[in-house]
Amino acid sequence: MSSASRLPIGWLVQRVAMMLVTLLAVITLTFALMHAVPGGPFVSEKMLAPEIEAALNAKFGLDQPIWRQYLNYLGGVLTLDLGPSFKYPGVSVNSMIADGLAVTAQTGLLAIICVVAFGVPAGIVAALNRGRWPDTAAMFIASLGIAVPSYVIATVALYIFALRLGWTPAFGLDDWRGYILPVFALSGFWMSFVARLTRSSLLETMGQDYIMTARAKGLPAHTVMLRHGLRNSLIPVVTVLGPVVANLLTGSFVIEQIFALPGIGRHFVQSITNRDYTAIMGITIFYAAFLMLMILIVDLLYLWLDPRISYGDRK
Amino acid sequence: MTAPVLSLRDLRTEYRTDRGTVQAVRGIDLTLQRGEILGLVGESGSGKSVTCMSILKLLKRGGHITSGVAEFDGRDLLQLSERQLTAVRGEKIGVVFQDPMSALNPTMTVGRQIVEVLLQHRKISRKAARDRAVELFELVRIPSARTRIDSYPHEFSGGMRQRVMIAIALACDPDILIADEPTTALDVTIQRQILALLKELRDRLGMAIILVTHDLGVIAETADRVMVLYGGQVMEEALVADLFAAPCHPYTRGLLAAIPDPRQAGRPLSPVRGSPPDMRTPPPGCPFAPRCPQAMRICETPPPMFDATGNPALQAGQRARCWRADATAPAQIFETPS
Repeated sequence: MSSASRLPIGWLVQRVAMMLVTLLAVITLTFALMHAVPGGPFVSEKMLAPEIEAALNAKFGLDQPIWRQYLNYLGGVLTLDLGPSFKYPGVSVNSMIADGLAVTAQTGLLAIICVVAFGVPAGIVAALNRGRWPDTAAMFIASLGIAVPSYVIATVALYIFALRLGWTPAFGLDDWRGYILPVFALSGFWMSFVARLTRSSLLETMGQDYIMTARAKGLPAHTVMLRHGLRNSLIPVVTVLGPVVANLLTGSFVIEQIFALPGIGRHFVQSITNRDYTAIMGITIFYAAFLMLMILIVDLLYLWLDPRISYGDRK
Repeated sequence: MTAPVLSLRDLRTEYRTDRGTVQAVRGIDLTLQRGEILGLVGESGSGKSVTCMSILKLLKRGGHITSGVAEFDGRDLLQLSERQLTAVRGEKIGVVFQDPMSALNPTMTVGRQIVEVLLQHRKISRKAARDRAVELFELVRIPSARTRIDSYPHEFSGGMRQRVMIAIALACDPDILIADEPTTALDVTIQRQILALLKELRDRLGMAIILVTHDLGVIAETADRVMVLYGGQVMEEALVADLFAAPCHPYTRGLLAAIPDPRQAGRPLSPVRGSPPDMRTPPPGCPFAPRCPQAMRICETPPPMFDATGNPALQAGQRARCWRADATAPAQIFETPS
């Protein structure tokens, strides 16, 4: 039975429906919490004239009852219009996300590639050399990567490589070298995490009976490891990769702040201090939807990785 | 007698663990004749599985073979490098494991798992290997072989999976098949079928089989010759008929007495009392002595193997590691209780 024929359409439809319900809950909760926070988009140090504030409120519909605002907003979301930013006149939240994402996704994508390209092989090498120096070295570095917060890694790396050695620019992405430090700082934790996970999962798999069968067949050690061990040990790795992808692609406020990158993470935090209602909502919805999509993709990957898994369409 | 296909001499295997070194096998000699089914029987921890896995150096982490010779095909298998061993494993000696639920890779079709071993050892095309896999499926009587070959292990029942395992082990026409508790995980009717299949395949293909089990019933039904293991040593070996008719070693007798007899329903079971020794610190003498109802003072000295020479109680080819089988011993030693 090929994976394609196992694609469970009914399950998929159900899953998407559940995602929409979840999204509605996210919208409602964020909306409620946001309005529960004191202040508003037009409250600032310099007092606006009351009539101007009233006019602004009327323009953005903030003079209407809350339930009305909620329904209006939902209507917008249905047509994929996340509304105008309250803080930056003439800027729509859609374009704000698009601009921020363009920056964040570049570093995020590179970070994901690093996590997979270095984390997984490091775990494999460590498992292959269990107890010997490559294992010890890899796991020592990985423990550091997990224990040291990304902003410390970022600041130290910035100080050494940008300020002292001058090998990389201190901020911005104008030069390809500008990517190195932010990507490193972003991926450090997850790279370490994935390396440790791959190692432990592979070691566990290598203790399974079917690995002994593979050895008894006369397969060389590396074939046993790669063909029989790796695939089965990748399931837990794939499980964390879904949320990791969502996490990295939607950016890190701290890293974006340190390297002065105009990414979506920065927009998000600023929109909260600004009480930029539509921006808060928009970015939250975007993040939630993206995360759910990633989890869905992970669940579909399981079908391909493990033929024992089925989502109830068959039988 | 023709030259044996495998001869194992003074095999010693230990497992080094955090809590001490387990002496799993302590000097086992074994000869396997061409085409014979040799049963290894014993309780868990007796060293029966470790003995067979040592032949191919398929030991779990911590396992070390400390001495011994395994003569096969004019070579000592225990001296071969890992690389040289890959040419023997699966090609000259096939293995069937205990639990067919976990011994097959769950993410690979059974067909691929057979084709894989063929491609490893034979210079044949993928297509030819697949055809051979179908043939093997038919050989082990898996119905609708041609379509079942593309199924995954979880789509088979336990008995069918064990047939798949046997097909994999036999793929390259091995000289020896090691079957490590092949029926322990199966229910009784399926057990029967698998044992009958093994016997039939031996008759048709002529390979020798080492059958490991803790079940004397399996031995009675399937094996030609049997070795009773305890504490990492051979306690007794004999032709199956001789062992059941005239067991010599008190341990063997205890095992036979423990088999429930349906004709005497209601009679309480008579187990072998006590528990097996801790193999980190095995008893200095006979390993069974602490549980033996007939133990003597001399049992604290390790007994050698005694054969039928001068001992009418033993049949030709029957051997026992028990001081009571010593035909030359002065009678008074038997009167000294320990």
